[in-house]
Amino acid sequence: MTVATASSNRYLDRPSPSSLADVIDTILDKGLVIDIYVRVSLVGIELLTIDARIVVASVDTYLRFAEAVNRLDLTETQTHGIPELIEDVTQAGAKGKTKGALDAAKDKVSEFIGDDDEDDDDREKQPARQSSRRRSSGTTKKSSSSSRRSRSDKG
Amino acid sequence: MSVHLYGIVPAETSLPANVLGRQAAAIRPVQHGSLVAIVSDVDPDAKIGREDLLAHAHVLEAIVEDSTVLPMRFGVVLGSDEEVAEQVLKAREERLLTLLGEFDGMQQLTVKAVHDEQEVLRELVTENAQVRAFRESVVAGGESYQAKLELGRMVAGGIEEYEQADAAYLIDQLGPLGRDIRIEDRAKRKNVLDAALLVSRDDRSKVDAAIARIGRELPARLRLRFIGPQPAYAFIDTALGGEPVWD
Repeated sequence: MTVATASSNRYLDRPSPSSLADVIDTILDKGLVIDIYVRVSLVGIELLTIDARIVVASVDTYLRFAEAVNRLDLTETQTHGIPELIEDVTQAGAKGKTKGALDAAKDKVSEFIGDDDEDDDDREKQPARQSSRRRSSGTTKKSSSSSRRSRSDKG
Repeated sequence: MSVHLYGIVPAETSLPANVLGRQAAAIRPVQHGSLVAIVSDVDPDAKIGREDLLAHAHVLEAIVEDSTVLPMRFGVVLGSDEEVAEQVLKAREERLLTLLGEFDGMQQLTVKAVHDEQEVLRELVTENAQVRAFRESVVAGGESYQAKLELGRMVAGGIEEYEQADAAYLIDQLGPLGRDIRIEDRAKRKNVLDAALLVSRDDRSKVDAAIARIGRELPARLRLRFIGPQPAYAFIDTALGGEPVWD
């Protein structure tokens, strides 16, 4: 993770449009629905966004934290660099607190909905896309049941 | 060819000219009475990519800049304009008009806060004597698996405390700025905080300035993202008693 600079918070004067990570939280999850029509299948995406909500408490996370604090050089002054990349902040936003788990999940989302162009949301490495997964994720009709289920789970 | 539905606006709404819909198609209105559905033509068999998701969101964001819009969830595709007019606008006219009235002039602003992990760890080790001592003993003891696990658990607990304190602080700061506020459940959100503010368009410059000020006064470990304006996604759900309009 790039150490974002404190000054990156200066970019808050105006709100920015949604990034890919944001739309997964909103337009796939909220908004008016209509069930009696053909619905585009979002089954795969919904499952993956649930994956992305894996909790922090896992052995892997603990070990990673331990490594991270052991590596920490406390003599290092806070030499925050140039606010080079606003994208870093964007990526930080996409990652959230469970970075390790989320990186994986986010990669999966990217893989799943990844398109041929390289969107600036994802400068990071992209796993090789698997055509089988993509095929199964294509537009399938009449699949509203899964989204209804996920909805009712939320109460 | 099918028709993708983005959202619903009052009939007098002028559509933004500078935004394209899915598959780079032009957006256009389908009217019934005093309601207009925003649609574009789509090939329903084309694969769905990130552009499709972003186009849906950005069309709605462009509209809500100047107008009131009820957002559809991504994925509502109908066979024709006639179906949109008959089965959506006409069939749900009363409900939609009520909702449009309720959210008249309203926008959502979303604030997401994340921790800069390096900074959080640095602060934790600096401020928490227990963690610092344990860290030294782990290093001295040759970093056994068990000791590292224990240290990591301690660190995770410390991060959790920062998260709770920082979320509470931000909620305090943001809450008074909007007409209403929704906080994403801790269990569901990926961030330290994920807050949606319901804001009147008329209050925007004031609210924007206040959020910028909050951003400047943050502790070093916190990063904010400020997203919007969006349709009132987080509030429309609630307005419907947690149920979608049609299901």
